[in-house]
Amino acid sequence: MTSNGNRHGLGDIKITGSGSSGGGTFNQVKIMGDAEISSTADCGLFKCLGTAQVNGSLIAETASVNGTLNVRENLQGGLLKSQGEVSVSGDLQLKSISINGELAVGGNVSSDFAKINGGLRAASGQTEELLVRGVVEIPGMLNGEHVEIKMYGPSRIGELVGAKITVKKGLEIPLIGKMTSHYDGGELSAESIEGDVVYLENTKAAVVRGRRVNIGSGCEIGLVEYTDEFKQDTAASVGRFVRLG
Amino acid sequence: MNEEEISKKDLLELTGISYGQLYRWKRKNLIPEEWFIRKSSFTGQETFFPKQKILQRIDRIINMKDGLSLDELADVFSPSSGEVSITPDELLQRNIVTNMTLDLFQQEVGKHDVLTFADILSVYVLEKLLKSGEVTRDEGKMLLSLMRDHYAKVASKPCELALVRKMGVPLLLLIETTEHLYVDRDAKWVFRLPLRGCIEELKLKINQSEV
Repeated sequence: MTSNGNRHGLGDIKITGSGSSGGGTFNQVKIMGDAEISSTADCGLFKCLGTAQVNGSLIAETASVNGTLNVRENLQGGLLKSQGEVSVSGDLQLKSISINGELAVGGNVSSDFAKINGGLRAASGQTEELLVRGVVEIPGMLNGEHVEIKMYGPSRIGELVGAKITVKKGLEIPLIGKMTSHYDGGELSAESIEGDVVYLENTKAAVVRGRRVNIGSGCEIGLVEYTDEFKQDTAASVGRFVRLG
Repeated sequence: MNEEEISKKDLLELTGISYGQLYRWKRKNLIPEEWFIRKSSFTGQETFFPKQKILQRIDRIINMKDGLSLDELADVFSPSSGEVSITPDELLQRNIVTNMTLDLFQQEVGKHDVLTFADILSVYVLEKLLKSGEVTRDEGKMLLSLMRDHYAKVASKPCELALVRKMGVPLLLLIETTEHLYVDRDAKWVFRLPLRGCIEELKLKINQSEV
Protein backbone atom coordinates (compact mmCIF):
# COMPACT_ATOMS: atom_id res chain seq x y z
CA MET A 1 0.00 0.00 0.00
CA THR A 2 1.63 3.26 -1.05
CA SER A 3 0.88 6.67 0.25
CA ASN A 4 -0.52 8.01 -2.98
CA GLY A 5 -3.30 5.51 -2.72
CA ASN A 6 -2.07 3.35 -5.58
CA ARG A 7 -2.62 -0.30 -4.84
CA HIS A 8 -0.94 -2.33 -7.53
CA GLY A 9 -2.49 -5.55 -8.60
CA LEU A 10 -6.02 -4.49 -7.82
CA GLY A 11 -8.59 -3.55 -10.40
CA ASP A 12 -10.17 -0.18 -11.02
CA ILE A 13 -13.79 0.61 -11.58
CA LYS A 14 -15.08 3.49 -13.56
CA ILE A 15 -18.71 4.35 -13.77
CA THR A 16 -19.76 6.97 -16.28
CA GLY A 17 -23.35 7.96 -16.68
CA SER A 18 -25.45 5.73 -14.53
CA GLY A 19 -24.34 2.40 -13.14
CA SER A 20 -23.84 0.15 -10.20
CA SER A 21 -21.24 -2.08 -8.61
CA GLY A 22 -21.37 -4.85 -6.07
CA GLY A 23 -18.51 -3.42 -4.00
CA GLY A 24 -15.24 -5.11 -3.09
CA THR A 25 -11.57 -4.18 -2.98
CA PHE A 26 -10.18 -1.91 -5.66
CA ASN A 27 -7.26 0.24 -6.57
CA GLN A 28 -9.38 3.14 -7.80
CA VAL A 29 -13.08 3.85 -7.95
CA LYS A 30 -14.08 6.68 -10.27
CA ILE A 31 -17.62 7.83 -10.68
CA MET A 32 -18.83 10.43 -13.13
CA GLY A 33 -22.57 10.60 -13.01
CA ASP A 34 -24.76 8.52 -10.80
CA ALA A 35 -23.64 5.30 -9.13
CA GLU A 36 -24.79 2.87 -6.54
CA ILE A 37 -22.42 0.48 -4.81
CA SER A 38 -24.39 -2.26 -3.16
CA SER A 39 -21.98 -3.26 -0.39
CA THR A 40 -18.72 -2.19 1.25
CA ALA A 41 -16.02 -0.77 -1.01
CA ASP A 42 -12.35 -0.64 0.02
CA CYS A 43 -10.08 1.34 -2.28
CA GLY A 44 -6.97 3.44 -2.59
CA LEU A 45 -8.69 6.31 -4.33
CA PHE A 46 -12.38 7.09 -4.43
CA LYS A 47 -13.38 9.87 -6.75
CA CYS A 48 -16.92 10.99 -7.32
CA LEU A 49 -18.18 13.66 -9.68
CA GLY A 50 -21.91 13.46 -9.34
CA THR A 51 -23.85 11.26 -6.99
CA ALA A 52 -22.70 8.10 -5.25
CA GLN A 53 -24.53 5.89 -2.87
CA VAL A 54 -22.63 3.21 -0.94
CA ASN A 55 -24.91 0.67 0.74
CA GLY A 56 -22.17 -0.50 3.09
CA SER A 57 -19.01 1.11 4.38
CA LEU A 58 -16.54 3.08 2.35
CA ILE A 59 -12.87 2.62 3.17
CA ALA A 60 -10.60 4.87 1.15
CA GLU A 61 -7.09 6.20 1.53
CA THR A 62 -8.20 9.25 -0.38
CA ALA A 63 -11.79 10.18 -1.14
CA SER A 64 -12.68 13.17 -3.24
CA VAL A 65 -16.25 14.19 -3.81
CA ASN A 66 -17.73 16.83 -6.07
CA GLY A 67 -21.43 16.42 -5.64
CA THR A 68 -23.11 14.05 -3.26
CA LEU A 69 -21.85 11.02 -1.41
CA ASN A 70 -24.10 8.92 0.75
CA VAL A 71 -22.63 6.12 2.87
CA ARG A 72 -25.03 3.73 4.60
CA GLU A 73 -22.51 2.46 7.17
CA ASN A 74 -19.08 3.88 8.10
CA LEU A 75 -16.56 6.02 6.29
CA GLN A 76 -12.94 5.21 7.16
CA GLY A 77 -9.51 5.94 5.82
CA GLY A 78 -7.15 8.82 5.23
CA LEU A 79 -8.20 11.95 3.48
CA LEU A 80 -11.63 13.28 2.52
CA LYS A 81 -12.03 16.29 0.28
CA SER A 82 -15.49 17.37 -0.65
CA GLN A 83 -17.28 20.11 -2.50
CA GLY A 84 -20.92 19.36 -1.93
CA GLU A 85 -22.64 17.05 0.45
CA VAL A 86 -21.35 14.01 2.30
CA SER A 87 -23.61 12.02 4.55
CA VAL A 88 -22.62 8.98 6.56
CA SER A 89 -25.14 7.03 8.60
CA GLY A 90 -22.59 5.35 10.88
CA ASP A 91 -19.25 6.66 12.14
CA LEU A 92 -16.62 8.60 10.29
CA GLN A 93 -12.97 7.92 11.07
CA LEU A 94 -10.36 9.70 8.96
CA LYS A 95 -7.04 11.46 9.30
CA SER A 96 -7.89 14.65 7.49
CA ILE A 97 -11.12 16.25 6.32
CA SER A 98 -11.57 19.26 4.12
CA ILE A 99 -15.15 20.17 3.27
CA ASN A 100 -16.81 22.93 1.34
CA GLY A 101 -20.45 22.20 1.84
CA GLU A 102 -22.03 19.89 4.31
CA LEU A 103 -20.92 16.90 6.34
CA ALA A 104 -23.65 14.97 8.12
CA VAL A 105 -22.72 11.96 10.23
CA GLY A 106 -25.17 9.82 12.17
CA GLY A 107 -22.56 8.63 14.68
CA ASN A 108 -19.18 9.88 15.78
CA VAL A 109 -16.79 12.00 13.72
CA SER A 110 -13.13 11.34 14.40
CA SER A 111 -10.31 12.98 12.48
CA ASP A 112 -6.91 14.39 13.33
CA PHE A 113 -7.58 17.45 11.26
CA ALA A 114 -10.85 18.87 9.97
CA LYS A 115 -11.59 22.05 8.10
CA ILE A 116 -15.19 22.69 7.23
CA ASN A 117 -16.67 25.60 5.35
CA GLY A 118 -20.37 25.03 5.62
CA GLY A 119 -22.15 22.71 7.99
CA LEU A 120 -21.08 19.95 10.33
CA ARG A 121 -23.69 17.68 11.84
CA ALA A 122 -22.88 14.62 13.93
CA ALA A 123 -23.84 12.85 17.13
CA SER A 124 -20.40 13.45 18.65
CA GLY A 125 -16.93 14.36 17.49
CA GLN A 126 -13.24 14.28 18.30
CA THR A 127 -10.42 15.99 16.47
CA GLU A 128 -6.98 17.32 17.19
CA GLU A 129 -7.67 20.40 15.13
CA LEU A 130 -11.10 21.54 13.99
CA LEU A 131 -11.77 24.70 12.03
CA VAL A 132 -15.34 25.47 11.07
CA ARG A 133 -16.76 28.42 9.23
CA GLY A 134 -20.47 27.95 9.22
CA VAL A 135 -22.75 25.90 11.39
CA VAL A 136 -22.10 23.07 13.86
CA GLU A 137 -24.77 20.82 15.24
CA ILE A 138 -23.50 18.18 17.67
CA PRO A 139 -25.90 17.20 20.45
CA GLY A 140 -23.25 15.08 22.23
CA MET A 141 -19.65 15.88 23.07
CA LEU A 142 -17.26 17.68 20.74
CA ASN A 143 -13.72 17.06 22.01
CA GLY A 144 -10.80 18.76 20.31
CA GLU A 145 -7.29 19.85 21.14
CA HIS A 146 -7.88 23.03 19.21
CA VAL A 147 -11.37 24.02 18.14
CA GLU A 148 -12.14 27.19 16.24
CA ILE A 149 -15.65 27.97 15.10
CA LYS A 150 -16.66 31.00 13.11
CA MET A 151 -20.41 31.07 13.07
CA TYR A 152 -22.58 31.90 10.12
CA GLY A 153 -25.87 30.67 11.54
CA PRO A 154 -27.34 29.00 14.60
CA SER A 155 -25.10 26.29 16.07
CA ARG A 156 -25.71 23.84 18.87
CA ILE A 157 -23.27 21.67 20.79
CA GLY A 158 -23.95 19.56 23.89
CA GLU A 159 -20.53 19.63 25.52
CA LEU A 160 -17.69 21.50 23.86
CA VAL A 161 -14.38 20.50 25.44
CA GLY A 162 -10.67 20.61 24.70
CA ALA A 163 -7.48 22.53 25.24
CA LYS A 164 -8.04 25.68 23.20
CA ILE A 165 -11.55 26.69 22.23
CA THR A 166 -12.42 29.74 20.18
CA VAL A 167 -15.95 30.63 19.11
CA LYS A 168 -16.41 33.78 17.07
CA LYS A 169 -19.21 35.44 15.23
CA GLY A 170 -18.86 35.45 11.49
CA LEU A 171 -17.96 38.66 9.78
CA GLU A 172 -20.90 40.67 8.61
CA ILE A 173 -21.54 40.64 4.93
CA PRO A 174 -21.73 44.31 4.03
CA LEU A 175 -25.05 45.51 2.59
CA ILE A 176 -26.69 42.16 1.92
CA GLY A 177 -26.45 40.94 5.47
CA LYS A 178 -27.88 44.12 6.92
CA MET A 179 -30.70 44.37 4.44
CA THR A 180 -32.05 40.84 4.50
CA SER A 181 -32.62 40.37 8.22
CA HIS A 182 -31.04 41.26 11.51
CA TYR A 183 -27.82 39.42 10.82
CA ASP A 184 -25.94 39.02 14.09
CA GLY A 185 -23.05 36.81 13.06
CA GLY A 186 -24.53 33.48 14.12
CA GLU A 187 -24.84 32.11 17.63
CA LEU A 188 -23.93 29.02 19.57
CA SER A 189 -25.88 27.37 22.31
CA ALA A 190 -24.18 24.77 24.47
CA GLU A 191 -24.80 23.03 27.76
CA SER A 192 -21.21 23.27 28.90
CA ILE A 193 -17.89 24.45 27.53
CA GLU A 194 -14.60 23.41 29.11
CA GLY A 195 -11.04 24.11 28.03
CA ASP A 196 -7.71 25.49 29.13
CA VAL A 197 -8.05 28.63 27.05
CA VAL A 198 -11.59 29.63 26.11
CA TYR A 199 -12.71 32.57 24.03
CA LEU A 200 -16.39 32.97 23.21
CA GLU A 201 -18.63 35.35 21.30
CA ASN A 202 -22.39 35.15 20.74
CA THR A 203 -22.60 32.05 22.90
CA LYS A 204 -25.31 30.88 25.25
CA ALA A 205 -24.10 28.31 27.74
CA ALA A 206 -25.13 27.12 31.18
CA VAL A 207 -21.54 26.59 32.39
CA VAL A 208 -18.12 27.61 31.11
CA ARG A 209 -15.06 26.23 32.87
CA GLY A 210 -11.42 26.88 32.12
CA ARG A 211 -8.05 28.19 33.12
CA ARG A 212 -8.22 31.34 31.08
CA VAL A 213 -11.75 32.31 30.16
CA ASN A 214 -12.61 35.28 27.98
CA ILE A 215 -16.31 35.98 27.46
CA GLY A 216 -16.77 38.26 24.47
CA SER A 217 -19.71 40.25 23.21
CA GLY A 218 -23.13 38.74 22.74
CA CYS A 219 -22.63 35.95 25.30
CA GLU A 220 -25.11 34.76 27.89
CA ILE A 221 -23.39 32.48 30.38
CA GLY A 222 -24.95 31.11 33.56
CA LEU A 223 -21.79 30.26 35.48
CA VAL A 224 -18.10 30.73 34.79
CA GLU A 225 -15.54 28.75 36.79
CA TYR A 226 -11.93 29.68 36.12
CA THR A 227 -8.55 29.18 37.73
CA ASP A 228 -6.12 31.70 36.19
CA GLU A 229 -7.84 34.52 34.39
CA PHE A 230 -11.32 35.82 33.64
CA LYS A 231 -12.32 38.56 31.25
CA GLN A 232 -15.77 39.73 30.29
CA ASP A 233 -16.90 42.05 27.54
CA THR A 234 -19.27 44.84 28.53
CA ALA A 235 -21.76 43.50 26.00
CA ALA A 236 -21.86 40.06 27.62
CA SER A 237 -23.93 38.73 30.47
CA VAL A 238 -22.49 36.35 33.03
CA GLY A 239 -24.74 35.15 35.85
CA ARG A 240 -21.99 34.22 38.28
CA PHE A 241 -18.24 33.75 38.10
CA VAL A 242 -16.09 31.85 40.56
CA ARG A 243 -12.36 31.52 40.85
CA LEU A 244 -11.32 28.01 41.80
CA GLY A 245 -8.19 26.72 43.46
CA MET B 1 -21.13 -2.21 45.52
CA ASN B 2 -21.15 1.56 45.17
CA GLU B 3 -17.78 2.93 44.25
CA GLU B 4 -16.71 6.23 45.67
CA GLU B 5 -16.90 9.02 43.11
CA ILE B 6 -14.97 12.20 42.60
CA SER B 7 -16.23 15.28 40.78
CA LYS B 8 -14.29 16.60 37.83
CA LYS B 9 -13.55 19.83 39.65
CA ASP B 10 -12.03 18.00 42.61
CA LEU B 11 -10.16 15.64 40.34
CA LEU B 12 -8.44 18.43 38.42
CA GLU B 13 -7.57 20.24 41.63
CA LEU B 14 -6.24 17.12 43.31
CA THR B 15 -4.13 15.90 40.41
CA GLY B 16 -3.14 19.28 38.97
CA ILE B 17 -4.00 18.26 35.41
CA SER B 18 -5.76 20.58 33.03
CA TYR B 19 -8.98 20.24 31.04
CA GLY B 20 -6.85 19.93 27.93
CA GLN B 21 -4.93 16.96 29.34
CA LEU B 22 -8.06 15.23 30.59
CA TYR B 23 -9.82 15.51 27.26
CA ARG B 24 -6.68 14.66 25.27
CA TRP B 25 -6.40 11.42 27.25
CA LYS B 26 -10.06 10.76 26.69
CA ARG B 27 -9.59 11.19 22.94
CA LYS B 28 -6.71 8.73 23.02
CA ASN B 29 -8.88 6.29 24.99
CA LEU B 30 -6.51 6.43 27.95
CA ILE B 31 -9.58 7.21 30.02
CA PRO B 32 -12.59 5.14 29.00
CA GLU B 33 -15.90 6.78 28.22
CA GLU B 34 -17.66 4.65 30.89
CA TRP B 35 -15.75 6.50 33.58
CA PHE B 36 -17.40 9.81 32.69
CA ILE B 37 -20.50 9.66 34.84
CA ARG B 38 -22.78 12.55 34.05
CA LYS B 39 -25.20 13.74 36.67
CA SER B 40 -27.47 16.73 36.69
CA SER B 41 -27.02 19.19 39.48
CA PHE B 42 -28.36 22.62 40.27
CA THR B 43 -25.70 24.27 38.10
CA GLY B 44 -26.55 22.07 35.16
CA GLN B 45 -24.50 19.03 34.52
CA GLU B 46 -21.61 17.73 36.56
CA THR B 47 -19.28 14.91 35.65
CA PHE B 48 -18.06 12.39 38.18
CA PHE B 49 -15.49 9.62 37.97
CA PRO B 50 -14.93 6.37 39.85
CA LYS B 51 -12.41 7.79 42.30
CA GLN B 52 -9.98 4.95 42.78
CA LYS B 53 -9.82 3.96 39.14
CA ILE B 54 -9.32 7.45 37.77
CA LEU B 55 -6.70 8.44 40.34
CA GLN B 56 -4.72 5.30 39.71
CA ARG B 57 -5.01 5.74 35.95
CA ILE B 58 -3.90 9.38 36.00
CA ASP B 59 -1.03 8.50 38.28
CA ARG B 60 0.10 5.85 35.83
CA ILE B 61 -0.28 8.13 32.82
CA ILE B 62 1.75 10.88 34.45
CA ASN B 63 4.47 8.54 35.63
CA MET B 64 4.85 6.75 32.33
CA LYS B 65 4.31 9.70 30.04
CA ASP B 66 8.00 10.49 29.67
CA GLY B 67 8.96 7.09 28.38
CA LEU B 68 6.09 6.38 26.04
CA SER B 69 4.07 8.30 23.48
CA LEU B 70 0.34 8.78 24.07
CA ASP B 71 -0.44 6.19 21.42
CA GLU B 72 1.86 3.64 23.07
CA LEU B 73 0.21 4.44 26.36
CA ALA B 74 -3.20 3.96 24.80
CA ASP B 75 -2.09 0.52 23.77
CA VAL B 76 -1.03 -0.32 27.30
CA PHE B 77 -4.48 0.58 28.65
CA SER B 78 -6.52 -0.91 25.87
CA PRO B 79 -8.10 -4.21 26.77
CA SER B 80 -7.25 -5.60 23.36
CA SER B 81 -4.10 -7.54 22.91
CA GLY B 82 -2.00 -5.39 20.64
CA GLU B 83 0.63 -6.94 18.47
CA VAL B 84 2.96 -8.83 20.70
CA SER B 85 4.60 -12.14 20.16
CA ILE B 86 7.45 -13.40 22.28
CA THR B 87 9.38 -16.63 22.41
CA PRO B 88 9.24 -18.71 25.60
CA ASP B 89 12.93 -18.00 26.22
CA GLU B 90 12.37 -14.27 26.13
CA LEU B 91 9.61 -14.62 28.72
CA LEU B 92 12.11 -16.22 31.05
CA GLN B 93 14.88 -13.75 30.31
CA ARG B 94 12.62 -10.79 30.89
CA ASN B 95 11.49 -12.26 34.20
CA ILE B 96 7.86 -12.22 33.15
CA VAL B 97 7.39 -15.85 34.20
CA THR B 98 9.47 -18.48 35.95
CA ASN B 99 10.61 -21.78 34.57
CA MET B 100 8.16 -23.77 36.68
CA THR B 101 5.14 -22.00 35.29
CA LEU B 102 6.40 -22.20 31.76
CA ASP B 103 7.00 -25.95 32.13
CA LEU B 104 3.45 -26.45 33.29
CA PHE B 105 2.19 -24.40 30.35
CA GLN B 106 4.25 -26.40 27.89
CA GLN B 107 3.09 -29.68 29.35
CA GLU B 108 -0.50 -28.67 28.85
CA VAL B 109 -0.39 -26.73 25.63
CA GLY B 110 2.71 -28.12 23.96
CA LYS B 111 5.87 -26.33 22.93
CA HIS B 112 5.48 -23.37 20.65
CA ASP B 113 8.28 -21.28 19.19
CA VAL B 114 6.34 -18.06 19.49
CA LEU B 115 3.61 -17.27 21.96
CA THR B 116 0.64 -15.06 21.12
CA PHE B 117 -0.49 -12.36 23.50
CA ALA B 118 -3.35 -14.55 24.74
CA ASP B 119 -0.84 -17.29 25.57
CA ILE B 120 1.49 -14.90 27.31
CA LEU B 121 -1.42 -13.56 29.31
CA SER B 122 -2.43 -17.10 30.31
CA VAL B 123 1.06 -17.92 31.53
CA TYR B 124 1.38 -14.60 33.29
CA VAL B 125 -1.93 -15.03 35.11
CA LEU B 126 -1.00 -18.59 35.97
CA GLU B 127 2.33 -17.46 37.36
CA LYS B 128 0.64 -14.81 39.44
CA LEU B 129 -1.92 -17.19 40.89
CA LEU B 130 0.54 -19.99 41.55
CA LYS B 131 2.86 -17.56 43.31
CA SER B 132 0.12 -16.23 45.54
CA GLY B 133 -0.86 -19.79 46.34
CA GLU B 134 -4.45 -19.24 45.28
CA VAL B 135 -4.48 -22.09 42.81
CA THR B 136 -2.99 -25.56 42.81
CA ARG B 137 -1.12 -26.95 39.83
CA ASP B 138 -4.17 -28.94 38.78
CA GLU B 139 -6.33 -25.86 38.94
CA GLY B 140 -3.63 -24.12 36.93
CA LYS B 141 -4.11 -26.67 34.18
CA MET B 142 -7.84 -25.95 34.25
CA LEU B 143 -7.03 -22.29 33.92
CA LEU B 144 -4.91 -22.86 30.84
CA SER B 145 -7.56 -24.86 29.06
CA LEU B 146 -10.25 -22.37 30.04
CA MET B 147 -8.20 -19.50 28.60
CA ARG B 148 -7.44 -21.46 25.45
CA ASP B 149 -11.08 -22.33 24.87
CA HIS B 150 -12.78 -19.09 25.72
CA TYR B 151 -10.42 -16.14 26.08
CA ALA B 152 -10.71 -15.15 22.42
CA LYS B 153 -14.41 -14.41 22.90
CA VAL B 154 -13.88 -11.94 25.70
CA ALA B 155 -10.47 -10.61 24.67
CA SER B 156 -11.46 -7.02 24.04
CA LYS B 157 -13.98 -6.73 26.83
CA PRO B 158 -13.55 -6.16 30.52
CA CYS B 159 -13.62 -9.61 32.08
CA GLU B 160 -12.81 -11.38 35.27
CA LEU B 161 -11.38 -14.69 36.21
CA ALA B 162 -12.80 -16.30 39.33
CA LEU B 163 -12.38 -19.50 41.26
CA VAL B 164 -15.11 -21.03 43.37
CA ARG B 165 -14.57 -24.11 45.50
CA LYS B 166 -17.28 -26.22 46.97
CA MET B 167 -16.42 -29.16 49.18
CA GLY B 168 -12.93 -29.13 47.72
CA VAL B 169 -14.15 -29.20 44.13
CA PRO B 170 -12.84 -26.25 42.12
CA LEU B 171 -14.91 -24.41 39.53
CA LEU B 172 -13.06 -21.89 37.43
CA LEU B 173 -15.04 -19.10 35.80
CA LEU B 174 -14.26 -16.58 33.09
CA ILE B 175 -16.84 -13.84 33.47
CA GLU B 176 -17.44 -11.41 30.67
CA THR B 177 -19.10 -8.55 32.46
CA THR B 178 -18.29 -7.68 36.00
CA GLU B 179 -21.84 -8.24 37.13
CA HIS B 180 -22.54 -9.72 40.49
CA LEU B 181 -22.57 -13.43 40.86
CA TYR B 182 -23.88 -15.16 43.92
CA VAL B 183 -23.03 -18.64 45.03
CA ASP B 184 -24.66 -20.89 47.59
CA ARG B 185 -23.39 -20.84 51.11
CA ASP B 186 -21.27 -23.98 50.96
CA ALA B 187 -19.34 -22.63 48.02
CA LYS B 188 -16.42 -20.35 48.62
CA TRP B 189 -14.94 -17.62 46.43
CA VAL B 190 -11.21 -18.21 46.31
CA PHE B 191 -10.41 -15.14 44.21
CA ARG B 192 -11.80 -12.79 41.63
CA LEU B 193 -9.22 -11.34 39.32
CA PRO B 194 -10.07 -8.60 36.79
CA LEU B 195 -8.04 -9.40 33.69
CA ARG B 196 -7.83 -5.78 32.58
CA GLY B 197 -5.44 -5.04 35.43
CA CYS B 198 -3.31 -8.06 34.53
CA ILE B 199 -3.20 -6.96 30.91
CA GLU B 200 -1.96 -3.51 31.93
CA GLU B 201 0.71 -4.98 34.18
CA LEU B 202 1.80 -7.41 31.54
CA LYS B 203 1.99 -4.82 28.77
CA LEU B 204 4.01 -2.59 31.03
CA LYS B 205 6.42 -5.40 31.75
CA ILE B 206 6.75 -6.18 28.07
CA ASN B 207 7.24 -2.53 27.16
CA GLN B 208 9.65 -1.77 29.95
CA SER B 209 11.87 -4.69 29.26
CA GLU B 210 12.09 -3.61 25.63
CA VAL B 211 13.67 -0.28 26.43
